Amino acid sequence: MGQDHGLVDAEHPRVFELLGAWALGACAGQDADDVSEHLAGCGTCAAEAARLQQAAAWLGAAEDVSPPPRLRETVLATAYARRPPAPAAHQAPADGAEVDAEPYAAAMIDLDELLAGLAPEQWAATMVHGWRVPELVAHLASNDSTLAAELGLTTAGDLALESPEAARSAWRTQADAVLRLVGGGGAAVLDRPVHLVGPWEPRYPVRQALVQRAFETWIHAEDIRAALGRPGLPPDARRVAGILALGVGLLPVSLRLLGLEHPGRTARLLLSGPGGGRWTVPLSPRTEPGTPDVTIGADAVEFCYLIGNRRSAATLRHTVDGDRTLASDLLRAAMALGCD
Amino acid sequence: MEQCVDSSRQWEQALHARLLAGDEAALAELYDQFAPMVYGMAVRITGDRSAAEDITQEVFVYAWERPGSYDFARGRLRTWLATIAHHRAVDCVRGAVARQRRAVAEVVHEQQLVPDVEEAAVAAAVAKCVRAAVDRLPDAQRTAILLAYFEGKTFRQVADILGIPEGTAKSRLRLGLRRLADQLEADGVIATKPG
Repeated sequence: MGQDHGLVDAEHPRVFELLGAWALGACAGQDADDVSEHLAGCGTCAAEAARLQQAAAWLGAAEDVSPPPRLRETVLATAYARRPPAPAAHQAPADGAEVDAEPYAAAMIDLDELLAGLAPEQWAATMVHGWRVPELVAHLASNDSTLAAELGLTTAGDLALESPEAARSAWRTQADAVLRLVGGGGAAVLDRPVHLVGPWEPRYPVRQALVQRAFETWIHAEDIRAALGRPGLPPDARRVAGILALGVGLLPVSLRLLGLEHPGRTARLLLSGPGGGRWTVPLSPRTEPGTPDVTIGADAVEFCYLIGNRRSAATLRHTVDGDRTLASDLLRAAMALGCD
Repeated sequence: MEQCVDSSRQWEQALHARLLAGDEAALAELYDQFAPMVYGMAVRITGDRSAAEDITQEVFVYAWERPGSYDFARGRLRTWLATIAHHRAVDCVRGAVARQRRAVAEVVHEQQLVPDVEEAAVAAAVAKCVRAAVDRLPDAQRTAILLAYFEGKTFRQVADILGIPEGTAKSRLRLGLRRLADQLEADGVIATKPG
C-alpha cells in the first residue's frame, strides 16, 4: 500500500530480534515505533508478534486476583457516563449485514479503482467547488471518519497534504475497517444509533449511516468521472431506493433548518425509473401529511444527483403540479441534504 | 483443551459484537470475566492495590469506549485486555519515584511466591499450566522475561541489570517467549493459528 518496500526489508532482521522485547512491553521510544511501523507492513513479523504477545499476556493472566467488589459499580458507571449504552434491542430486520454493507463496499471499490487509474496530472483536475482530487479524497475521508469514530475505530486524520498514494491508502484503510467491523458485527452493530454527517438529529442506525457513506462515495466518483469527461455511473435500483428512503425522510427537517418549513402543507414526490417510488412528504417535521398541495415528478436517479447537490432546481428535469413555491422550497431542501 | 479454546473464542466474538453495539450487559460480562486477570496483573506489577484499581478502571473504560480498536483477526480478547493492562501498569511503575534496585536473586525469588491474596477460581487449571510452562524455561530466559514483564524494564535495562550485552538480552527475551508460546500451544492454552 504505497510503502517503501526497500526500507521494510532492510529493517526486517533488526525488528525480528526485537519482537520478544516488544511483546513483553520492553521496548521504549524509537525502538517501539520502529517495530510498530514494520509490523504494519510485514505479515511474517506481525504473525510472530501476535503469537509472542499471546504468550506474554498469559504471563500476567496467570495471576488472577479478585478486585474489591465495590470497584465493579464504579467502573461500569464511569464507562456508561463516557459512552452511553445503546437503547434496549428491538426487533432486527431480516436483512443480513452483507445486504446493508454491499452498496458502500461497491461504491468504495469503484472509487478506489477510479483513483488508482488516475495519472498525476489528472489528480490536479479541477472539479466541483473548485476542488481537485486530493481535496475531494480528504473531504470524503473526513466525513467517513464520523462513522469510524462512532464505531470506536482509529480515524484517518487530515489527508489534505498527503501524496496521492498515501491519501488514497489512508481513505481506503479507514473505509475497509468500517466495512470489516460492520460485516462481523451483525444486527447488533447495524441497529446501533450513530450520528450522520450533517445536522441530522437525533442519531440514526448504522445501516442508514452506511447508506449515506455509499451515497457520498458514489457522488464523488461521479465528480471525478465528470471532470475526466467520462459518462456517469448511476446506482442500481436497490441503491437508489436506499438513498431515496434516507433522503426523502430527512426532507422535513431540512426544510426546517433552512427556515422553509410550511406546517400543515404536504408535497407528493413521484420519482420514476429503477429504485423510484411515491412519497407523501409533510413540509414540516413532526406533522402528519395531509392532502398534497403540490406534486413533483422527476427521474429517481436524477433526484439522487439533486440530493447530492449535483443538480439544481434549474438543471433538474421535473414537473410541478400545484403550488410552485412549495415545490421550489422542497427542491432547495433536497439540495441541502448533500455532504459537502 | 483445544475445544475449550475454540468455544471461548466464539463467546469472545459475540461479546465483542455486543460491545460494539453498545450493549451495557456486555461490558458487565467482560468485567466479570476479565477483571481478576487485569487487577491481578496490575497488583503484581505495581505492588499497589489502589493503583491497581485505577488501572482496572482505565482498562475497562477504554474497552467500552473504543471496542473497535480490538481486531479479532489479530488475537484474542483476553490478549488485547492483558496487553492494555500491562502497558498501563508498566507506565505506572516507570513513572513512580525512583525505587531501590533490587538484587536479581530477590526478584526471582519473589515471582515464585504464592500471592497471599484472594485468587479467582477462573481457569485454575490453565493458570497452573502457565506457571509450569514458565518454570520450565531455562533460568537465564525466565529471569530476563520476568524482569521485563513484571518489573517493567526495557531490554536495555535488563541487559544492564544482568550485566549482559543488549543483543543477548534481546535474544533471551525472544527465545524465552517463543519457547513459552510453543509450550502453551502444546498444552492447548493458545491456539496454533491466531484466531
